[in-house]
Amino acid sequence: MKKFPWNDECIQHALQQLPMIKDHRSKEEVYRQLVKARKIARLKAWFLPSLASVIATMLVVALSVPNFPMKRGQEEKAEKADKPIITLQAEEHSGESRPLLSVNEYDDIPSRIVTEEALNGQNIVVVGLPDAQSQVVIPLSVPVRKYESVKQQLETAKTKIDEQIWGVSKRLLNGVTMEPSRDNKQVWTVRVSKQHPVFSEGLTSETMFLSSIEETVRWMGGKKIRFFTENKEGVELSRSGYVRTLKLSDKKRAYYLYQQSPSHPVFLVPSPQRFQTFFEALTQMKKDVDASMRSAIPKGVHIEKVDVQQDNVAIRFALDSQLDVSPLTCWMVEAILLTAKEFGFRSVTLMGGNVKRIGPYIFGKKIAVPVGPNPIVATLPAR
Amino acid sequence: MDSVFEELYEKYHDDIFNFLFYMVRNREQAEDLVQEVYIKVLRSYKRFNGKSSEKTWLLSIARHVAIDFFRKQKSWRRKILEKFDWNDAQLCDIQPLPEEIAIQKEEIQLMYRCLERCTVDQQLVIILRFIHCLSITETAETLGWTESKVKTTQHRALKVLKRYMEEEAAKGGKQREKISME
Repeated sequence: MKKFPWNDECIQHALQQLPMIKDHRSKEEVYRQLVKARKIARLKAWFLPSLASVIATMLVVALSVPNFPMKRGQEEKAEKADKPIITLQAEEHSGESRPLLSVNEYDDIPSRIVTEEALNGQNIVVVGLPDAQSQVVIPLSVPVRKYESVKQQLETAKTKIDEQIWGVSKRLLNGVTMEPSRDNKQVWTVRVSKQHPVFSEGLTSETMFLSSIEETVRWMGGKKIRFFTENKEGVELSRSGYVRTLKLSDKKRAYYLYQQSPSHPVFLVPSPQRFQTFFEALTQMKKDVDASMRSAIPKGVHIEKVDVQQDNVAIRFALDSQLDVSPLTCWMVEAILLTAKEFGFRSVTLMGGNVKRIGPYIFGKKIAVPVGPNPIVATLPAR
Repeated sequence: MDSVFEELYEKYHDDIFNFLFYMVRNREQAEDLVQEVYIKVLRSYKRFNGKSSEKTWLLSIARHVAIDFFRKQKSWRRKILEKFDWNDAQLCDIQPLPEEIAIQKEEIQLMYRCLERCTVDQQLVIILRFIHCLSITETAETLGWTESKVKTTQHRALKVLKRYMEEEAAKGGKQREKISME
């Protein structure tokens, strides 16, 4: 066979010689066609929702009539209701400020994770915030605009989180900017103002401050944090001392349930301690950490076997496990998925338990680990 | 005429069209897709906050439009295969070389043909890096990837491109030998 002396440089040079292919149409012609195409697009945007409204009205009328023969679709409907219904970002055509879901709807949504599927190509950022009583740091997933810088996305996310509704405190992250370095996305710069309360408060504030930043940066893929007090390197904390950098190692934590009060939602929060193995983490998830961090695996659920298969982990529940469809069992699965993510698994397969599914999670199929925990219902600013 | 359209057309139309053409390799389809890009851009232009460059923002929209097109085409292809009980090899659409390429030297024509055999991700990186001359950072911004992913994909793309070129050239050589013997 004939040898060809092409190396990378030759290939690159040849690629650069590929000609520019130009549109043969004139500007006016392109614009004319664009106007036409926009009209069709608008018509579609108007017609399809209108059609949907008409169908919805007809359905409401049909359902309100007693004994209407509609039993056929009931099973399908029940199945749909089980699926996570979080839409992190709606279609981008309304000019008004609108909630993605109204605030009091959160109890209707059992899911406490964001899946790649629900994300639907949109972006989220995860912000770690202390609860209002400074007991734990809660990671919250907030939908953001794709074309903003990460720094801006985090700032926007903070403004979208309502402290009252979610029972968190943003105080320690106010006046703090976080952004990845330009040349190394794993190294993050965190800048704090001189007047920040962490400089004048005690150990709890310092711990919560550092933990919140660590949690945020960890979820955003950072491995190292460089602190600055305005333009001066490092932060001088009265109890923890001078902190210049913080290296983030893999934590391998377990997830627990946390609810600040009955009027606040239940969140999935990581354990303060780390575990050697995934099995050990699962075992610990059956026990409460304290009065506020409750076990994520209910007492009636027994894990028979954990089988690691490369980046998938199979979990077999004992046949006598009580796996009824309730928010608690759904959150158990989600806490397991988040814990699996901590241990580097990419998917989880649930088996046994004498059930075919728990909510949207089907047994025997690989379930991808989530992209974020605790999606919050946010209000998008006006566009 | 819409002033935003006019400005974008003057500044970036050639770039967007060229990008879409190299992605879909068909002039008519590129013309349709460029329309879609403008619709999306004009709808969201007010929200463009200037954090990234206007060019990379537009190219990222064009990339989404192209990927959507491939997705639709794939499902169309699947439907056809099911309906007619064909296999994938039977349903291949060979595009003639565009005029601009056909007048180039053989090596460039070969390059154009081999580029099609690369994966969509590899094509995206090659088109942005070498045909549009974007930097690694700009390419990463356009594709929404990390810079290291761009570098890795570029490295792999150049490697497979070299292999495809050698394969194609060898095939061409053999064919030429056959013809001359006859």
